[in-house]
Amino acid sequence: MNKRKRSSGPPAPSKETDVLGFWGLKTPPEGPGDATLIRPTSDPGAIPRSLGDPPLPVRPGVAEAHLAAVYEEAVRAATALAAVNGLLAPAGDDIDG
Amino acid sequence: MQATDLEVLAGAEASGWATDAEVATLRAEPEEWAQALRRLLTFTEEGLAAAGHLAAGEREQVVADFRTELDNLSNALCRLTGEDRRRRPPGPGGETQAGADTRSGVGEGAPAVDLPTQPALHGSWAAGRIVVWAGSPGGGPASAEVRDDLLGVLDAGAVPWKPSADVALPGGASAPARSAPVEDILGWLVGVGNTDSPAVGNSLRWLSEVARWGTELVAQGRVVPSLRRAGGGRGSTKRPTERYRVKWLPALVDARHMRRLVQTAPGALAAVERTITPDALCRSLLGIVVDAICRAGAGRLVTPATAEVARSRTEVAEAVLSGLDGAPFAAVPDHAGALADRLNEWTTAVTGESPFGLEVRLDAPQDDGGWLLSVEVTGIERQPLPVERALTIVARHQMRQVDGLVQRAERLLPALRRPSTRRGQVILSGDEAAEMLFGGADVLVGAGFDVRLPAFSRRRPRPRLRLFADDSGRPSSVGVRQLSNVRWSVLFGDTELDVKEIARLAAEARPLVQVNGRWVRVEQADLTAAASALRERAKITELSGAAIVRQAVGLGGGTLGGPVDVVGSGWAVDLVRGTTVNPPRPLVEPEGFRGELRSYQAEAAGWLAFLDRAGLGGCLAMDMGLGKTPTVLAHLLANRGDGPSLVVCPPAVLGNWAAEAARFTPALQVEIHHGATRSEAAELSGVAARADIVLTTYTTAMRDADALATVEWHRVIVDEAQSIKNASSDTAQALRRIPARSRLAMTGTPVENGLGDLWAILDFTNPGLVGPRNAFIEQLSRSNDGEPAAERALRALNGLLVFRRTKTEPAIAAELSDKIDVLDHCTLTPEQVGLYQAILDRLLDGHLDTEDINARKAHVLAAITALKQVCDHPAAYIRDDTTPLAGRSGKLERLEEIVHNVFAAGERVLIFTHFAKWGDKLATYLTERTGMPIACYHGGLARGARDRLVSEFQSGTGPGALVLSLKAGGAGLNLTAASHVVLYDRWWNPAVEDQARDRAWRIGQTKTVISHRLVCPGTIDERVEEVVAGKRHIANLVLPARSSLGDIDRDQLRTALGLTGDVLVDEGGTDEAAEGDEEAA
Repeated sequence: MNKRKRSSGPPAPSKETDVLGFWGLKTPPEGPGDATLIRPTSDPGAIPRSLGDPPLPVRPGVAEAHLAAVYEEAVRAATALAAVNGLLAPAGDDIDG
Repeated sequence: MQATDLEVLAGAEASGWATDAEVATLRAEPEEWAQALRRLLTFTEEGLAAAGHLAAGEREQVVADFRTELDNLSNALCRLTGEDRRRRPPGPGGETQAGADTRSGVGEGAPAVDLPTQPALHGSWAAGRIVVWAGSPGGGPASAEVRDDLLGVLDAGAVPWKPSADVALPGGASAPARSAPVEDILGWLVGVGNTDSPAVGNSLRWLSEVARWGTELVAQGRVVPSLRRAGGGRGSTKRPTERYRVKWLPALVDARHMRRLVQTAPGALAAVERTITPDALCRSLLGIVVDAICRAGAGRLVTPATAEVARSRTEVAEAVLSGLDGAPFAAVPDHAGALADRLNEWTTAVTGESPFGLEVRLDAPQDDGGWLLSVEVTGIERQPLPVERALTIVARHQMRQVDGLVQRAERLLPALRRPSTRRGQVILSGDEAAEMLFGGADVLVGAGFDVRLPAFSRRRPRPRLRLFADDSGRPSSVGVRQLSNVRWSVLFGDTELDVKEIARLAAEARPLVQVNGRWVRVEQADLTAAASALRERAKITELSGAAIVRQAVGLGGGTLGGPVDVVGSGWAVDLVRGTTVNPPRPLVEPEGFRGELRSYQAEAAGWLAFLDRAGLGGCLAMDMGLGKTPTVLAHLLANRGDGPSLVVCPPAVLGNWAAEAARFTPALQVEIHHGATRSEAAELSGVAARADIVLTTYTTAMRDADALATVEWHRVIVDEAQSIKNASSDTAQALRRIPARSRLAMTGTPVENGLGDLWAILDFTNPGLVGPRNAFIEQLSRSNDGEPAAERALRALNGLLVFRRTKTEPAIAAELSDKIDVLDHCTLTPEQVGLYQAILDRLLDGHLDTEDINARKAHVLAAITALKQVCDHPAAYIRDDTTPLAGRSGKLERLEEIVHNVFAAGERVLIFTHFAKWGDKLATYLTERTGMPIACYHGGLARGARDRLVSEFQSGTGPGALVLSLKAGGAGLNLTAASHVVLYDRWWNPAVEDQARDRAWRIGQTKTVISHRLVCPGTIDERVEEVVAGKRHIANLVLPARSSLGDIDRDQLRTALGLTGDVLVDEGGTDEAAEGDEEAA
């Protein structure tokens, strides 16, 4: 009798499991109620400032100033994008810390 | 063209960066273009393989970048030659692909579970593009039409989607698809998951969440720039120049969130690009989103021009700064590669994963010490470790990481760099602590550190004066004249500050105080105001009881005006604290009270008892319809035996008082002092001695003021107290001459025209207590918050000198029925009495002589109609348009009062009469009296005109009224804008009246509807009322059982229609109307 050798690894996913996995029914992504509202930073340039002087050999202060301006605009663009999609956290909802 | 130049152009075209001229150059040499793409693919695959050696944190992002490059190049090659190199072996990530090769599904081998069949829009990943298609697990793929419908439903119809190959689904079926680059649909993709629409499939929702996350990272500044070759890769090449561009990378990526997303990724995401792993997909999409938003932001800035080819370190650096919007630039590879590496090194602390973290903690000062800021390292042991300890125990290669972390914190918090005995620990000043609490902490959190702070609040604490009164050692007088020693301080929340403490705080730039357990920042302006207020009062060390009460209700004036917190001891303190700390107990219905007090009525009666105990007067200012009269009656019954109460009211409500007293408190002895037959002055004391309540009208009280002043009244109660809003009027002056132990004013509209109305009422109830009129108005008109002065004033006085409740308060509304029926007993004027009697006499003496039964019936019915018209108004019967209407009907006066009160409350009213012509006159009259246009809706109007009246009434806001004939307007209309209904005259059938009331009380009505029924006691009106109330049947009443009408004899008719002893005659109507005019003037 020709016996099929049993796999030692984890069982192969069933067809049902594959289908559920394909459509995202096994562990559905977070729903709209779970979406975290976006709270923009009050200090857009904090990350580059924390990293120290940028390795850009230009006149002193120029790189920092330009990076700071770009970070500010980037944060503004992201905030606008969040706002038009209703994802912006209302101001003042963290009034107590 | 050299091969390297072609590679640059091919790479740019594949990434979508090439200009039209560059694309034209490539098209001129298609074979070379294809070769260049193949070479680039080889380079990139090599780079991808090499990326496997990178450190864990950096590797994922680099791999994701290489994959994107590979996708771009493969697609470009496929477009150009049809050569498909898009199927690749799994990359270094190595995860099992989700959903790929899934062939089971719909139809054959379909799962046994119930699967959704409603098609939804799904998204799959394809080399930087989102491929959209529709389908469902239970229904399989959906058609292109369904897909496009779903795109429309989800607001993506206008997106320039491009045709795309069908997407293979489990089971072998395929769905028609369209696609677009992520950048082109970013605005839509970020928000499409933020809906609970079933049209959004799980794969699309997942993509949306990643896009939202990317947006969040940029909004929090968690991004860093990197430098890449425009055609792919980062390193140096042998070519003399290369094209480079800045690519923005996500920083401080939350690994847990990433894992969560990877675990929930639907297989459908990889239905097109089957080898991609969820992790790689998530990183690729996150990278594209972050890069796109940052480039868009940077693109808003104007940057200086740079060298055509950056050949030096400085020129490359300048090109990077100018190219933060992602625009490619040409540079010498040696310098550009070196700068790319340095940028990578600069940002590695926030792009890679690290086992270590920092916890920054701020501890509040102890015993006047400073604020301790300490930094500790996490991830080494279970507990955070001080920095110096952490640096001594970590391995040598980890020391740099820990030190780098601490340095990042030190750069953001310069105080940490101050010389200190221990690295990572520093004492902060109050100003620095405030900066940390209200700004620095957020920055640290944004930079990826954990922060622990003491409880704080951003709410601005408003300063409020506190007055401490001490009556010890003073003479034992009690009441408004009692003098107390006082001292002053200022409250910020629950924190009391004296002059010295305020001066100390004022010296700090950002002073902090602890309020209700939370640290708050006090504004300098508030400290200045507080100091000024205390300075102004420094010499006020003694106040009378009345003055303390004035301070408590906000009538003290000066800086920091508004209600003062009163503490200490003495009459005034007990009085004020008695309303706030220990509010009066509600009254339990006294024995003999026939009815049940609502909770707010019981509270109001408790407040009346509080006033009696305090020896104060007050204003019961509950909204119309809330039952002021039964409330006062319950109080009078509970205190029966204290002495007689004089109730002064308009003649139109005199009957109501008598009727309500008989209904709710039949045990109370009520006397009416009104009309020609009223008691003489000499008899008044005797009348009062045997009465609990003496009812009179304003006019009578004014005429008999001297006589009334001889009686020892326990209390004088003025109902509809707006009648005394003119304090200098004869009525108001006369009433002030009548002494009483206490005075009570009743009104639903204590402030009609301004705070002067309220002052007049309160100065009547407590002469002198609320100070001069102008100061009263000035103090209570002050506002910093935009709250209307009347509301603020009533709130300040509520519970002490005023008891205010409105129908709109949720607690009151919950207790109220949604409809309230009020029976208003109205007087007859002498003219009405004369006409009424004349009609009756004519019927009985002449018209009944005929033997013709039908004629007798007609005469009787005509007489009934005429009598009802007379009860309405003489002009409704005699059709005389020349004599003014005012002062000739008790019903009309009562109606005017109701309309006045309704308008004062800003509400709308319907007035029903079944005499259409009278309705027309009524509308004209009310228009003249109120100054508001009031129309009459009756059957004589054209359909369009009637519809317009209803529409205008319904769409109007604020005060408004509409007169309707019962027949034309009693049914079918929707008039929910009204919350009051007046049934001016009665109809035999209660269902008809209910239908009329239901024009306002119906679906769509959000307020309690108050229905006023106007009845003249002792007249035909009352007979109708008895029939309507079910106390009699029409047959028993003799009227109007038509079969018997012709047989009724004179005595029966006299009994049925004649005036009885209950009739209320208003003999002073003309005078009162005249006085009303005088007051209005």
